[in-house]
This record gives sequence, C-alpha cells and structure tokens, in this order.
Amino acid sequence: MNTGPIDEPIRLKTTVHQQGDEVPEIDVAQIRLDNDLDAEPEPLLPPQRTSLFFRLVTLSIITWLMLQWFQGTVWSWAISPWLGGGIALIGVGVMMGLVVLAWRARAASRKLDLISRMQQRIRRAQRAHNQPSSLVPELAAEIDALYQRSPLNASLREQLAAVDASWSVAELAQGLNSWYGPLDQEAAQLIRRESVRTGIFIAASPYPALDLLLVAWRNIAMVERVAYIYGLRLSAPARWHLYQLILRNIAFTTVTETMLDSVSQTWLSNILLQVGVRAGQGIGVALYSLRIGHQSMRLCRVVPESDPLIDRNIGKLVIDSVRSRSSGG
Amino acid sequence: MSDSFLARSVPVTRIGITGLSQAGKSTLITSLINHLENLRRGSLSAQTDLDLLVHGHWLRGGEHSFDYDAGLHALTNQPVRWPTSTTDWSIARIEINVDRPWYSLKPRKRVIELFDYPGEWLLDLMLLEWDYRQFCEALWAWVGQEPRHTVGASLIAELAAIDPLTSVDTAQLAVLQERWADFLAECRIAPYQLSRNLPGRFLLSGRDFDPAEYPFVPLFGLGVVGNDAAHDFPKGSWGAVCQANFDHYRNDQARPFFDQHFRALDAQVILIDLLGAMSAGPAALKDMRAALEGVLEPFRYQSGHWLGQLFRRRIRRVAVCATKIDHLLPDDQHRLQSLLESYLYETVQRLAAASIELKVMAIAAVQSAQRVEAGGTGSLIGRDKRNGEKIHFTPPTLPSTMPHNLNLKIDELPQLAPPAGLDRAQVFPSRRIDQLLAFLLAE
Ligand SMILES: Nc1nc2c(ncn2[C@@H]2O[C@H](COP(=O)(O)OP(=O)(O)OP(=O)(O)O)[C@@H](O)[C@H]2O)c(=O)[nH]1
Ligand SMILES: [Mg+2]
Repeated sequence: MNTGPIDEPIRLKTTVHQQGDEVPEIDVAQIRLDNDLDAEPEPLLPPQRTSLFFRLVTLSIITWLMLQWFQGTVWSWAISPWLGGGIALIGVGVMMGLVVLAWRARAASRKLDLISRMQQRIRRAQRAHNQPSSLVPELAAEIDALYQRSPLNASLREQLAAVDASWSVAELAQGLNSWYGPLDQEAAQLIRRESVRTGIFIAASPYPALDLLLVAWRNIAMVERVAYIYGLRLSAPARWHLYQLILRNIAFTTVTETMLDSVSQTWLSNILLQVGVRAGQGIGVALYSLRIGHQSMRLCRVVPESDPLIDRNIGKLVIDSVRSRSSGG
Repeated sequence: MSDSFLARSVPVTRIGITGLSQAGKSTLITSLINHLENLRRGSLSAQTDLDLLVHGHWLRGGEHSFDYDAGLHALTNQPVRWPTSTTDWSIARIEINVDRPWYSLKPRKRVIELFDYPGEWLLDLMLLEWDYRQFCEALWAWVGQEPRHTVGASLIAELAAIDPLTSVDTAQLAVLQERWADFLAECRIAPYQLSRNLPGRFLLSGRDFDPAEYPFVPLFGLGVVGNDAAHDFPKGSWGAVCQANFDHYRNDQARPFFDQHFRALDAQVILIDLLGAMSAGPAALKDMRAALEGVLEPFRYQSGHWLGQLFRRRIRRVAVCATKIDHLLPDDQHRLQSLLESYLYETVQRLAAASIELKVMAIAAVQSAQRVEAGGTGSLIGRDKRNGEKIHFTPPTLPSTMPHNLNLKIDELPQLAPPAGLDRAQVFPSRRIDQLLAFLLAE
C-alpha cells in the first residue's frame, strides 16, 4: 500500500550558519522590543471602563443637584404647598429623564460601529466554514451601501460586481483585501511619515508645553487623512476610541522617566536608558502614533487584515530614523 | 481554624501544570510567577481579561513550596542555566490583588496555586487501572517494538525466561529491578526520547518512597502460564511477590498521589515538548502520543468512575500547549500549533466534547533566541545549552500538516540556553504566556 520507503521519515533540516564567539550576543531588551512590535493586534474597539475619577465627579455633581432640589422643595413648600409640590414633581421628572438618557448612552457605548460589526461577522464566518454561503451577497450589498457616498464607490462596485452566491466568505475577504492593497500601502506610508515626523518634533522640541498641542494636532490630522484614503468618514465610536488613544499619546509627552516605567512600557524605559529621555520620548510618541495609525486603518477596513498592516519592520524603521535624526541633530 | 477561614475568604484557583518529563513544567511555572509579579508591565497589561488584576506576589514558605528562588537563581545568575529537573512535588502560591469597583462584594484578593511534580510520575496514571497481569501485558507489547526491543534485548529475554511460579530469588529480583530502571532511563534520553516509561517512580522515587523496599518487575513469562493462574501464584513465587508489590505501588503510592493533588484542580495546563519529540524522530513521536492519550484517558470516563471524577469534578479549563517554540521562526511557531492540533486530534476532540473550555496553543516560557534578519530571510541567534557556544542558525520550515504516520524528523535543532540579562523585576521575554494566563485566570 505504502509505495514509498516506510522507514525514511521526512527530514526537516536546520541550517547552522555560524558557531562560536563571532556570533553576536543576544539582547533581552531587544527581544522584548521585537515581541512588542509583533504582538497580536488589539481588539478594534475595546470595552471602556470608566475611571474612578469620572465616577466621583459625576456622583458629587448628582449629589449636589439633589441637595439643591431638596432645599428648593422644602423652601417653596413653606411658601405654598402647591409650589413645593410642583418643584418636587419637576425634580422627579428631570431625574427620570436623566435616567433614561443615561440608559441610552450606556446602550450606545456598548454598540460597535458598522465596520467592526462587519469584520466580526466576516471573521466568524471565515473560521466556521469555507463553503459558498448566502452570507456573501448579503455582505456585498452591505459593503456597497457603506460606500454609497464615498469617492471610491465606483471602483468598489467594480470589485464587487463578480460576487455571487457561489463565493465563500474567505474568497470575498481575499478579494477585498487585494482591492485594499494600494490603499493600505498609501496609508502605511503616510502613517510612517507622520509618526517619524511627530517623533522627531518631540525629540527636538525646545518647548515641552507645545508638545501636547503638536501631538494632538498631528495625530488627529493623521487619523482623518487615513480615513480619507479609505474613502470613509469615521463613525462616532471609532473616532471616540481613536481620540482616547491620542489623549494617551499626549500623556507620553509630559510624563517623566519613572512614570513611563509604570505605564507598562518597560521596553520604552530601556530605550530611554540608551538614547536619553528626550529622544526616548520621541520614539515613544512615534511608536504610539504608529499604533494609532494602525488602529485607524483597521477601523476603516471592512475586512479584517490578513497580514499585519503595519509590521514590525515599519516599527523598526521608525525607531531607527527617530533615533538617528534626534541624536544627529 | 484561621486557615480554613482564609481558605473561604480568598478564592483559590489551583492549576495543574502537567507534562511528561522535560516538557518544561518548572520553567513555565517560574515564568508564570515572574509574569504575575510584574502584572502591570509588559504584555500582560494589554490583556483585557486580566484588567482587574493589579499586583501579584509570590508567597514564600509553607510546606512543599515551589522553589522559585532556585529557578530565579538559575535563570538570572551568571552563567545562566535552566532550572534543575524536579525531584518531588511542590506548589507555588501567588497572591493577587484584584482591583474591584468600590461597590463590588467580590473578594479583592485571589490566590493562584501552581502544582509542579516530576513528569515521570504522570505516566503512572496509566497503570492505575491495571492489575499486575495487564501491566505485564502492556509492557510486553511496548518492548516488542523498536527501539525498546533492541535497547533492552538482554533484559527482556531474561525477564521472559523467568517462570513466575517458581520461588523468588530476592537478590536477583533486586538486580533485575535496578536494571529495569536503568533501561527506562536509557529509553528516556536522547537519541530515543521515549515517553512511556513505567513505573515512573522507578526513575524518580520522591521523598517518601524507596522502590527497593517493594521490588517488582514485569514478568513476561506470564503469557505462558494462562489466564486464571495469575490469581493464585504459589506463595513466595516470583509472580506472587511481584504482584503484591505492584499492588502496593499502585494502591499506596500512585493512586493517593493523584487522588490528593488532581482532585482539587480547577484548570490543567498540558505541556507537550513536540519539538523535542520531532527531533528524536517518528518512534518518539508515536510513543509520546500514545503516552499522552493514555494519560488523558481519564477525561473520558463517565462521572461514576473515580478517575473520571478526579479529572472532571472541577476542571473547567484545559490548555494544551506545545512548549519551547522559541526555537522556531514566527511563521513556524504558528504552524507548530496546527501540527499539535493534528497530532493530538482525537484527544483534543474528546476534550472539546467534554464541556471543557479548551485551548490549543504554542508557547515559550523563556524566549532564548533572538531573531535577526538579513536579506529578507529570518534566522535566530542564541546559545547552545550543551556546549555553551553561541550559535546562529535557521530552524527548519515546518510542514503545515502532520503526516498521518508521524514520519517526520527534525535534524540538528540546537537546544538553547536561557538568555543572559534576565531580571526578576522585569517580565521575562516569552511567547504567549500572557494569553495563557488570560485564558486560565479569566473569571
Ligand atoms: N528554549 C527554551 N527551552 C526551554 C523552555 N522551557 C524549558 N526548556 C528546556 O526544557 C528543559 C526542561 O525544562 P523543565 O522546566 O525542567 O522541565 P520539567 O517538565 O519541569 O522537567 P522535569 O522536572 O524533569 O519533569 C530545560 O532544561 C530547557 O532546556 C523555554 O521556554 N525555552
Ligand atoms: Mg520540573
């Protein structure tokens, strides 16, 4: 039955290039950095946890308002029970209104935007089966609707024209990914350029107070331009998420070395040791901008990325150029 | 009193780190403690499942406590080396502070217990269900195959020549037992690297057991005797002595060990040194798969069965992990995971059906190789653990599926020493330890 030689296993060879002292020493800090650069992508819109501070402020405002209302009610009751009753009623009405509003806001914050939801569906379908499925035309129609008012509408139509029920979701995703190819490239280049530029600015900036504004301005512009490349407007949840990331990036420019360490970026503190605080901050901001750019790309694409859009090589390039230009200049 | 009070107020999650010997259990535990100690740094902080965990802290002391100090000492002192092979069971306890919202009534502390033991003992799970005759039959089948057949040729012939009904020669029995242990030891190491080495405590006896007090060997002459004779060996015969001592081994050593320690587990991590077995070749791969299937068999028993109860009473999560994947390039690390999936296909399917949360992954506890890139192709640099020399190599490209007959062999893959420059106050570089922890500790 078995025609081949039974005993001869398939041999997988290891190639040894060099052995002994000429081989460079390995560097744990560098391994950490590498791992960080090719970590798995984070969830698109991670669930938000409200901070304790925010809760405390809300709570005290609510308490204050309640007290005011209570006082007002007691005071006006003394004048006339009608007036007091009225104010009490108004208060109850306002409170109920607020509860309803809060409820709605909560529901909305849990919702994903259209694109993340579509990505989720595609990913699930890809994992589940590779057969042609009725889901495909449905998805294609939805994608088309999403791009209704986009300048890229015509070219996308062309891409989707061939899609019918004989396609599998994986094929659809593959087709779209290749359509996204040039856009991805353009966006990645833009993001790389922007990240390096912002990083160098920070590393060289004489006025730390300005950094904050600078980072905010450059990052917001970057995010908007990425969305423009993909021919879309960012949805409210996506924008909210990206702006939060930008806020965190701004925080980078103001914190000190010891604080950076506790921001969980231990590899960053290693860079700091090597290149000095200022240049280190530049690199930190550049890498974080890269990440923001990456997130905005992912938030603009209907299909999940098949290969990382921003890979570790780009990360390395960014680090190197910020490092060399900030120490040279 | 205070102890039981503590036990009630602080929830304890006990995780069994299971694996054949040299699978990487102790190293993984050392790395896990290190990760938990540095919870808010590195990649762990990015795991949304672990959002609430703020600070972990290893509890030193206590009986049978895991020697984290020794592990750290080995990994962080010059010259660095791997932790030594385990000789007895131990438990690592880590206390974790949990950041709950102020209104939450749930406890603000958690204790994680990681259970470590010599991998040799795990195999004894297989013989719990056997009587002496079945034990001999199983081993007879194993020694019938290569490479055991050649490695132990003279010993096997001698054991087969003994008539179980004749009266025992205790001196010879002691010698034979020792030779059997030596035979197991030889099968276990390179170039054979076989897994099914029974009885496990002959290789490593642990603190309270001396195999010489209860000597027995498999008697391959049993087949000649016929079936029912097994139950009435004449008093003082080879068969009677071996059977009695086997029963003692099974009932008083192996069984209580699993009963005591596996009963309380909440999660299992099953470590598999797939790369090591692939380096040893098809025979080792086959033997390891048979061993793993035998060892994981209890998951299959119905709830009435005591072994089934032992495994299924509490265990909700099982992670099956290929270890030491830092020897490979990233693409192959992914492929190794799918290889593992097809290698253990039946077992994994069975576990998945048993309403257990299951995850198959490929991990490295301490990443010991650094990737370098030249001309678009990746390669690795590290230090060979056998001769201490630095080495620059390209690991083999793995196939994306496992050949059904497991006819596969990796040539010359070096075994790496840990990297210099590890530091307790920073997360050890690793692969997917963060994901493993997130899976195990999710609430
Ligand atoms: N490169 C690399 N090698 C590892 C890793 N983990 C374990 N090893 C290797 O595997 C060997 C065994 O690791 P241990 O952790 O002692 O294995 P164990 O399962 O506890 O073994 P026993 O205690 O003998 O049962 C080590 O000496 C290392 O050579 C890892 O993450 N990376
Ligand atoms: Mg060990």
